[in-house]
Amino acid sequence: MTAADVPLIQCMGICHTFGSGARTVAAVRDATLQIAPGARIALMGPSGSGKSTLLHLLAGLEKPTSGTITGRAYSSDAVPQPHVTGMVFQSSGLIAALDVLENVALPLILAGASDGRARSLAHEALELLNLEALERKLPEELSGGQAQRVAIARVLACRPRLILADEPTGQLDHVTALSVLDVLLRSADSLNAAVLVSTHDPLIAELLDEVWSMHDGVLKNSMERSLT
Amino acid sequence: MIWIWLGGLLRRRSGRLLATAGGVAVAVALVASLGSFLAAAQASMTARAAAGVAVDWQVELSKGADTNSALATIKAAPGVKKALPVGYAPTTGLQAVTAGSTQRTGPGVILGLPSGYAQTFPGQIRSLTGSPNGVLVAQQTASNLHIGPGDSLTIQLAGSQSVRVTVDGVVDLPQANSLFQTVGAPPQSQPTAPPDNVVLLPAARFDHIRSALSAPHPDLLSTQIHVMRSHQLPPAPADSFVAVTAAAHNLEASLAGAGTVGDNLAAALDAARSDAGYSNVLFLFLGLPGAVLAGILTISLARAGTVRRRREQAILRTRGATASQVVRVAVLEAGLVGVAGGLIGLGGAAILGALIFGTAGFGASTLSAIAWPLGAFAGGLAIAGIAVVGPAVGDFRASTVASARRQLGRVRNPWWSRFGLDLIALMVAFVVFLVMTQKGYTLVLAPEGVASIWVNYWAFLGPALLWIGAGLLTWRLTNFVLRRRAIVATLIRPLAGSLGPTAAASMSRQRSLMSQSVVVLALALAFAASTATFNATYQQQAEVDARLTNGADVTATAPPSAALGAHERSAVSAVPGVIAVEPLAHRFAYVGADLQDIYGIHPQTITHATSLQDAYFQGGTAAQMMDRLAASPDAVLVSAETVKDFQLKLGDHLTLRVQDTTTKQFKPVQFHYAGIVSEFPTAPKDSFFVANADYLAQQTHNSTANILLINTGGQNVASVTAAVSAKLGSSAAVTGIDSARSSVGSSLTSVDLAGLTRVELSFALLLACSAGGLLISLGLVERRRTFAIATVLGATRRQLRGMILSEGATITVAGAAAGAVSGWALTQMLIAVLTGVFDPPPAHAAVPGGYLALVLALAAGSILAADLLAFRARRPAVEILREP
Repeated sequence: MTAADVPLIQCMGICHTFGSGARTVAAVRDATLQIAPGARIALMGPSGSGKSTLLHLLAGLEKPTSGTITGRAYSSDAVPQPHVTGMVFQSSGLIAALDVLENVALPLILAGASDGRARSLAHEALELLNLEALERKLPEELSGGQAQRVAIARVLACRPRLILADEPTGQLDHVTALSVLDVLLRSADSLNAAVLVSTHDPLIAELLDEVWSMHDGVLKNSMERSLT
Repeated sequence: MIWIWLGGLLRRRSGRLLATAGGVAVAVALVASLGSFLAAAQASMTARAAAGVAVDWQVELSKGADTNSALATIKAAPGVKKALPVGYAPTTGLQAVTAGSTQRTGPGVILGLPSGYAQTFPGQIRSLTGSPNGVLVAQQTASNLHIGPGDSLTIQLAGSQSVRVTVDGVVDLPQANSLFQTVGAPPQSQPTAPPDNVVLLPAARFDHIRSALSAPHPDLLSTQIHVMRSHQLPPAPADSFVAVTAAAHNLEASLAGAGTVGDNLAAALDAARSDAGYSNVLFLFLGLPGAVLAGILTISLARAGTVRRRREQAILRTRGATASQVVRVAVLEAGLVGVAGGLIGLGGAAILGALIFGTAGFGASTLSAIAWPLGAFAGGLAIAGIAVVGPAVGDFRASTVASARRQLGRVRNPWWSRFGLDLIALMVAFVVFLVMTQKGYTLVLAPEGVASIWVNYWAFLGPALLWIGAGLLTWRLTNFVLRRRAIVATLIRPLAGSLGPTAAASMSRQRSLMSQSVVVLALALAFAASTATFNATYQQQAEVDARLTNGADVTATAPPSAALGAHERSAVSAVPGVIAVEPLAHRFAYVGADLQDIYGIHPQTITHATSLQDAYFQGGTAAQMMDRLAASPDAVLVSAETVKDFQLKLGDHLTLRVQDTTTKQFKPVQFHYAGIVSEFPTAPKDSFFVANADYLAQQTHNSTANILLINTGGQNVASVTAAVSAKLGSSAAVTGIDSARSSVGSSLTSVDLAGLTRVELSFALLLACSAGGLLISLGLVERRRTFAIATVLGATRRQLRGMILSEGATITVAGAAAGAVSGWALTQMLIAVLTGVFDPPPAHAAVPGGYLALVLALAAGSILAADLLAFRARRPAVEILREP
């Protein structure tokens, strides 16, 4: 197997529970999956099915209660590699006190880039999405679609290998949603990055190569199906 | 719907509600505490003034009036508890033979006291040696005649008659001025000096003198009825003054011309009235800013939740809530915050009162103990209304649901900034300051004998405008600096590291909120600094006043004609605890026809035993004045009034007439006018001279001193006083600074700031800490989403801590700097405005460095603690991001 064939993420039987005792809620149950470089995956399921928790686990924002996560996006000691994975949230997740350019540059600065270098890369990312005109705007001055595009630009600026998008179009109208997803996928193409998008919308899911489903914390995907 | 909303508020926004209620509580507690304390202070001023009067009324009977009838009328008057007749008769001289030598005095006064007089009026006569009853001689008279208990004394009467008596005791007459007052003198007239020689006789013995004089000189005899009144008076000195004066007039009307009332009680209350006026003014100057500051803090705390409130309001409106429902929700929230804060504040005030004064009501009367807390509670409700209802209604009217999404908006300069209101306020405050530092400025005027008090309310304009101007200018400057992101980024780089520019940009966009936090912190620190410095300066001047009144730590005073020579001086020097003894010669000198005190001092050594303030002199420092005296033997320091009356210029010859001991005659002596002296240890408040002791001794042929200033280094004053008193016996009155400290409390400086200081300094500390910690922590709570986003974007704990701390540090440094400058300016203004409280006026402010360092450290500590707690208490980022 060449390095390029190594999956970005490989999960074996991961579980995640909230609470304890009688109040224990299993958000993700025994999920096994793998994401290859350049993959285009839609994760579908009703609200509360565990989609967001699974994405947070994959992004390293939460730790699984049990099971293992490995792959190129993770270091040997199971810690997420910085900026190999980028995450787009349901709400744009922009910092209100920073303008668009500063928001996009922030993760780069946090990763150690100089202020000037970070701004330059952020500018490039915004240009890629035709958002350079919004650079000096504050988040509250953007429409929902613009804000979500900026959030995508913030992810792209770090040139990730895997983009995890948690219902990125959930708060947008259908036309805008399609436009935003189009931007996301074209950007991912330019970076040759894999994309995993959680969504309720079957029309959105149709734009992706593969569809996984989740219900009550249980993931159904090709690997699960092949295992059964 | 309203109750569901309220329940949600209580469950989910309890921190914000509690913080706002805390702000209301501080304001309520401050007003309730200070108000109750000042009401109690006024009542205690009345009580102290009344308690200091030995004889409330001295009713001088008209010639020919029937004593028994008048006595009966007086006893029947309302409020009169006891009344005793006292006879007054003049003596042409006293004579005694001691150790084979005959001593004589000049004229004097003989009093005839009924039995039980000393017990009825215990403050009038203080027994020094011998029996407290029988034939008593005043200390100065005993000293003049060199007599004591058991010695014979001949009282010479007009018409060459004389009466021989045996002395039973020597006494001090602490209130000789009122005892020998000219009853019925016009209010503005000069008081008459008490006689040098006084003999007190039992009524039966006095009757012999009365009999001897009644036929040839009935006009020389007079009778007074000394009256003790009930001291159940209205709490305020001004009200008491009016009540007592009216009662005196009523009695005079009842006596129908048979007597005139010498109203000592009203005179004492008259003096206390201006103190009470000052206490009201002090409340307005020192207490009100704290309460307003607590109100501003409350409004700022409520504003910290503006973004969230707007969002919540938008949700309510999208669900169809009407304007009245939104207002009712806000009113309910304000009511909840106001009532909770008010009750907490009243509880806090009661605890503070119990801790500091031993009573929850601060010793105030029942009415005051209820009225002030009730008023404070109402004020708390008003603050809650302004803080919560005002913005809610304003937001509802001004914003749409869409605009509720706005969190920051573009920062625009406020209207006052465009008009330069801050600078105008500061300029007008400075002009007021200049006016108030001019001669003749009086804040409180209580003309003697006039019922009304005049307060110069224009004086309030200075501090009020300074507060406003300082706050607005701080806002302007903070705003100005925060706009310079590059500068801020450089300044915060040690904390924020590479995130400096980003943190600077964030602060710049939030500069409106940041500036508000800086202003509140700066004003809280300025309040602490100005209050503490004012109070410390007051305490310093009270100590100076006590030292000025007493002369030194311990002072031994013999009558002017007696002496404390080298023997006494060395005896006093040998007393354990005595560091230095400085002799003073107290004589009298005529300038023209005016008799004044003159003090002979040793200018090079006097400061070994006492301290001289620059404020005692005009036209030079204390050291310069002493140097002038030392440089020229015949130099003399003169009071400003004398300089004006005699049109003196520096270096002018001044001829004084002083008594030559050898001839007993006053003779002219040449002096050179060397400077103006306003105050001097042991000297009276009116005009006097200060000259070189050696020159005075040479001219008067008398080198003895009659005052010894004793330095104990401030230690063991009571024991040294007792020891020196034992050494000197009845030849001198020995007083310690401790007794002067309590006696100056009944003069102009009587507003007892000790309690006020403790209350105010506690609140100042609380406000400074709250302003820092609460504002920061609430601000951080509101921005937890920002930190959550930064976390999911890969911020390390160190980077997050740097971002949080850089904001806290910026607010702390800017607030401390602005607070220090504003505090200094306010202190100067307060000292200028309230200059009448100080006696003598301070040469410089006393800065309580320890307290101010503590306030600053605690304020900075509370900000740091808020930062660290907010950082530690962070919930998982993804959980925060899931919030709507």
